[in-house]
Amino acid sequence: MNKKEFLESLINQLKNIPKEEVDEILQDYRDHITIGMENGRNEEELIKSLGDPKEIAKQLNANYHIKNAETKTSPSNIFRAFYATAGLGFFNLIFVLPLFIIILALLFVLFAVPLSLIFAGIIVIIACVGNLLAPDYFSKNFQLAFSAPEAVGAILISIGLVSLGLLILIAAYYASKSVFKLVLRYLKFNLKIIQNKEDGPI
Amino acid sequence: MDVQLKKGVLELCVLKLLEKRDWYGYELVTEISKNIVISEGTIYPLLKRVKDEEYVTTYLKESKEGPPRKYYNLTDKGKHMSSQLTKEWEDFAKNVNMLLNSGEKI
Repeated sequence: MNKKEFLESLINQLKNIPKEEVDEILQDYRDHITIGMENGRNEEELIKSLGDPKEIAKQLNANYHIKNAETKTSPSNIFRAFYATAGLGFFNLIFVLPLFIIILALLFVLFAVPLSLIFAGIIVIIACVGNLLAPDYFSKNFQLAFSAPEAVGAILISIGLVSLGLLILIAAYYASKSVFKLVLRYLKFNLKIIQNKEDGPI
Repeated sequence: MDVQLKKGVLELCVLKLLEKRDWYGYELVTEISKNIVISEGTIYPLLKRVKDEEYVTTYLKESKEGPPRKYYNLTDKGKHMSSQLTKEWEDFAKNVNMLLNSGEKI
């Protein structure tokens, strides 16, 4: 492999990394090769001692996606970081992926429950308030007719439901934040331990 | 030596060298290669990572020949991490040595 092939292979393997960062990475390797040749080493030997560009790209991808997920924490960014780190081959994707999906599903439920509570509560409140203000209109169009005490009771219960939903939502927000933090810490830990899955020089 | 074990200490080696003075990438690679067999290319992702973690900053300096060199400078945060990693490594090495030597006493 010559310099051009090495750099091209590296570019092709870098996934979703912004152009400025890619340019900087390539510059580092270009400089390394140039300085090496100034020191009397030949191009082919230099490229060989740099190692497999695919393995280098895997590390750079994992680095970037973990960093990105840390600054912009979202389920999809976490998933990308997870996927990129799995590429390093440290943890077994087949075992860790289902666990990861279960965690995401649980988080989804944690948000879906309070959101449904809030949504249902608001609908009931609107219906009851409407019923109180314009009973004729409501009974005609929605076949709904509450007595005033019934409507007031329903409104009170709904306010309770909405508040409960909001509380759970806040709890869910903090819970998901710490779960994401833990996942990222686990990914970073892998990054530190492993640089390359192949047995051979690091 | 176990590859994964070596990889874990590569960051420590880089930070330790940077405690002494500023180095550019190629110099770091050559210096570390004197003692440990590494794929030279893996040092750059590591340097990028420690830069992202703000353990180091970089600056360019013209060279008599060839491209300007990108020097790495250890930050206070990096110094802190370096001493923490050194301690972890020393504790680990001490425990392993104890285990290795305990064979004679048992």
